[in-house]
Amino acid sequence: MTSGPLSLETLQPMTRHILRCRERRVAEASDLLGLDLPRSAYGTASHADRHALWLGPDEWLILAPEPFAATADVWAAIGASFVEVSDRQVALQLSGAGADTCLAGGCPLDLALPAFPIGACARTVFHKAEIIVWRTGSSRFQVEIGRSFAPYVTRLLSQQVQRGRSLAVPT
Amino acid sequence: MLLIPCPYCGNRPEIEFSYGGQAHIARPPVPEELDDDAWGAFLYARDNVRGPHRERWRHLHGCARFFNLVRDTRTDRIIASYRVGTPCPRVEPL
Repeated sequence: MTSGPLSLETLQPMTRHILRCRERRVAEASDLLGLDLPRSAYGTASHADRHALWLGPDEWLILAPEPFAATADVWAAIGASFVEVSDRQVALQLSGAGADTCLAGGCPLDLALPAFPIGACARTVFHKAEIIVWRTGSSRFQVEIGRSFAPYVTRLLSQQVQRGRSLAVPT
Repeated sequence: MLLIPCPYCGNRPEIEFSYGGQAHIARPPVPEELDDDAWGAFLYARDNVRGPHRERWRHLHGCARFFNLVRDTRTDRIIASYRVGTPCPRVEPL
């Protein structure tokens, strides 16, 4: 895959939910969402435009372009909580040659392809902010950040991007 | 930076974690039956181990789970990590 020049952009608003659910109810929750919830660290699952990102053994971030039809009592019936957090976070997309190096400037995770393959996601830190990193391509990352941390993370990431462009980081 | 083995996520960088003190300290079932010394001991008295220490950690900026760790306090070497509710693996005295 050829990767273009480094770029950082803010993604369009989307619907985000946090699903908390016990392990024995994961199958029912998967049915309600219409996708197979990932059950191990770094796991993600996608169906059409819906994505489920594993955050913890009982916690998932669900991304979708549209709000969900299932209501709170449907979730309560299986003992799960499904809370909308769309406006809590903003998403940045970092893409292009050397995107992993840019992110690694503030993120201590091993972002090399064998350790963090396409589709992997993790909640981790970027400098002093908590972020969720999701690798959507070999040199493309979606970074979910808390809204109040957005200026901080964006500024630091754009510095890395400018530096990366001037150095022309080898891929 | 230390790599800490989270039982749910595998090896992760130290700054994602927060320390939770000594592990395996059971809260007395009926606190009001304790005298002040016993209650004080439960609240404040902790081992000061030189060697393998069983302690709680939380993967705060990751899966957010508490788990237990056996760490050598002299070298920071991590000997074992296991989930809350599972018994501590046998640790040979070093």
